[in-house]
Order: sequence, then C-alpha cells, then structure tokens
Amino acid sequence: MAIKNGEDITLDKLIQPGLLLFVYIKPSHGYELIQNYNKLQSTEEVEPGTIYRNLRRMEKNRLLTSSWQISESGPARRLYEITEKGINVLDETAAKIEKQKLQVEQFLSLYREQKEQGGSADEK
Amino acid sequence: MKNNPNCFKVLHAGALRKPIKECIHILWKRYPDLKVELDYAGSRACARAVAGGKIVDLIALADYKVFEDILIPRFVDTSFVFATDQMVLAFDEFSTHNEIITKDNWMDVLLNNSQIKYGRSDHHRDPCGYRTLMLWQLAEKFYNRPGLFKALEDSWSNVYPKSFDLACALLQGQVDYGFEYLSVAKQLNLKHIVFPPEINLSDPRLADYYARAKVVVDGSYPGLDTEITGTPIEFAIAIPKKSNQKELAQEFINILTGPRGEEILEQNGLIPC
Repeated sequence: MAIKNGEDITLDKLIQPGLLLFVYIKPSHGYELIQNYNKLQSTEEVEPGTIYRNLRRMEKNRLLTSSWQISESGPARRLYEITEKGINVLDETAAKIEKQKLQVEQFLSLYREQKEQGGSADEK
Repeated sequence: MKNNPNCFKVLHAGALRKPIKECIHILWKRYPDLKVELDYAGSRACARAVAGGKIVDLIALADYKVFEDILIPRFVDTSFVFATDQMVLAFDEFSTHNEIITKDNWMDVLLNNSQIKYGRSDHHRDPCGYRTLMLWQLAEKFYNRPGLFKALEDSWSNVYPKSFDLACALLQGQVDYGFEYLSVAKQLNLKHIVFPPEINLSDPRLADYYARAKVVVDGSYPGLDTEITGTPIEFAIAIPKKSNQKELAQEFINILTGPRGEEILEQNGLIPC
C-alpha cells in the first residue's frame, strides 16, 4: 500500500484520503469535516475522535497545516489547509485507488463469470 | 499570593483540573519562579465570577456557549475550542448492581431499585449538569420511553456544584452512579457505560438531533432565565480582557493546543480538536 510521497498515509476505510480531499476542496475545521464525512463514507460510521486524530496525524506528517480561524459568530476553531506535499499525496492516492478499483472490478468480473457458469469444478 | 498581580491566575472548569495542572508544569519548566494560582468551579459559576469582577489571566470552560452567554463581548473577545468529550454513566465496583447494569438497561436499574443513589451536577452552575438533563431528554426519544425524563428527574439523589465533585462523591460512596464526562471517569479510573452517540452529545453529525433538547438555567442577571439548546460537547479557553498576563496566557494556550498539550488531553480522556 506504499505511496511514493505519501508513505505516512493510510488507505484504511479511506479516512485519510477522504479528509485530504475535503480539505483540498475547501479549508475546513474538524467539526465541519465530521459533518461532511458521511457524504463520502455513508456505509460505515467513523467516530469523531478518529477523525480528529487522523487530522492531527496528517498535520504531524505535514500533509495539512492548521491555524485558528476566528469567527464573528462563534468560537475560534482550528482551520485545516492542505500543503503541497498533501496535494501530491492526494494525487498519488487517487491513482492508487484507481488501480485498486480496476483490480476489484476484475476480481468481481471473474467471480460473477464463474458463478454464472455454475461455480467451481467441485460445485459442479 | 491571592492578590499578587504578577501571579498567573487560571480559572477553569473542574473537569479540566488535571490537564491544566500538567500544562502548568510545562510552563514551570520555562519559568521556574512563576507563581500560579489555579481556581476551579462549574463553568457557568466561573464565568459569572469573571463577569462579577474576578480578575484572572486565563479562563477554560467546558462549553464555549458559556463564553457567548455570559462573557462575550464585554469581558472576553473570543474563545478557542480545544477539546471534545462525551457523556457517560460512571460508577465503581462498589456501586449497587454494578455487575448487571448495561448500556441497554441503565435506566431500569437506576429507576427500579430504591436503594440505588444516582447524582448529577447542578445545571445552573455546570454544563455537565444541563448536559445530563439533555441526555435524559434525548434518551426518552431515542429509547421511545415516554416519561423517562421526568422519572429520572424525579428520582435523583444528590446534586453537586460541578462534575468533579460528583465524581469524588462517587468515589466516596455517597452515590452509586453519576452522569459524567468520559474524561473525568477516565481520570479517576471509574467504570463507565458508554451511551449511544444519539444521546451522548459527542457527534457533530447529530447536532440537529441534539438541538431538540433544551434546558432552562439561571441567566446572567437575577430573575433572567436562559434557555440552553443541546449541542456537541466542546471545551474552550479564552484570555479575558482584564488579564494582567496576556502574553503568558497566550503561551499557555499554545502549550495546551500544541503537540504536548494534545498528548496531555488524550491521556486525560479528552479529544483535542
């Protein structure tokens, strides 16, 4: 699962790639990212703590930076922005996922083909 | 020391006692001679003290809305959200029926056993208190148990000024169960039941659902009530306008919200955000 510039990123449940993508689309704070996360990942609930921890991990790995966003109506929150390294990792991750998608499609295609033909030699 | 203007004065929610102290120790490594005065109470009580003239250099509360309700803009410009938490039901190995209570039967265990004492903190003084009442309201809807809120509200045994006092009472055996923050339960090694996100006030995705819960508390002025709406739990910190040590206060905030502070918050059961 190694990615050239993104060896620090994990593709597990697409949490980190998903967060990188959202921050790439628009600099956001954790609260907002948690609210948006289900748009990408609606089948599996991810706890807010997991999202906050992944944001901090990616900041530590310099994929994201953060600063305080002071609002006129509400408290100041930590605003995350993507870095150059983060953009490179996002590009590489998308390519990796694209490759995985092809592998998954090939697997499913072969699987369905076999099932339609009546299954394995043993099943026949 | 109490009236020393050079003393660094921090006023904070009781639930933050341990992480605040640990961050002060980091500050002491930089300034070994620094005099520090820590004072703590329920967050609404803290805010009222500052509004009433108490001079502190830093104020850290369990709900950013307390800043907005009582202190902004007159006493504080803005607050900084730094951690989140969730509500749990805390108990220990001596609590009556601790061996049978679960996340599914907790309300029946509390309500159907006259020998069980359970407590909460004071909703007028402490966010943990009004969050407990919100949890009960949300539980009534979530479990489809009409009358649950009133039953729980009619049967509690003790109310304490702040969540930390409730946890201490639990340790001393004055109550069997207490509605607490997860962080406080972890800091005191208390057993606890984790509630579903729909009622534990932890998840920003459920903000609209939490907003169904409302609690009326004493307002900023006598006779003036304030209605508080349910929101995800967020702790916040601010430098009051009358702080005598604004630079040092900012340095403390940088520690608390920096890598070392985040480790401290995690170790104390809070989620840095």
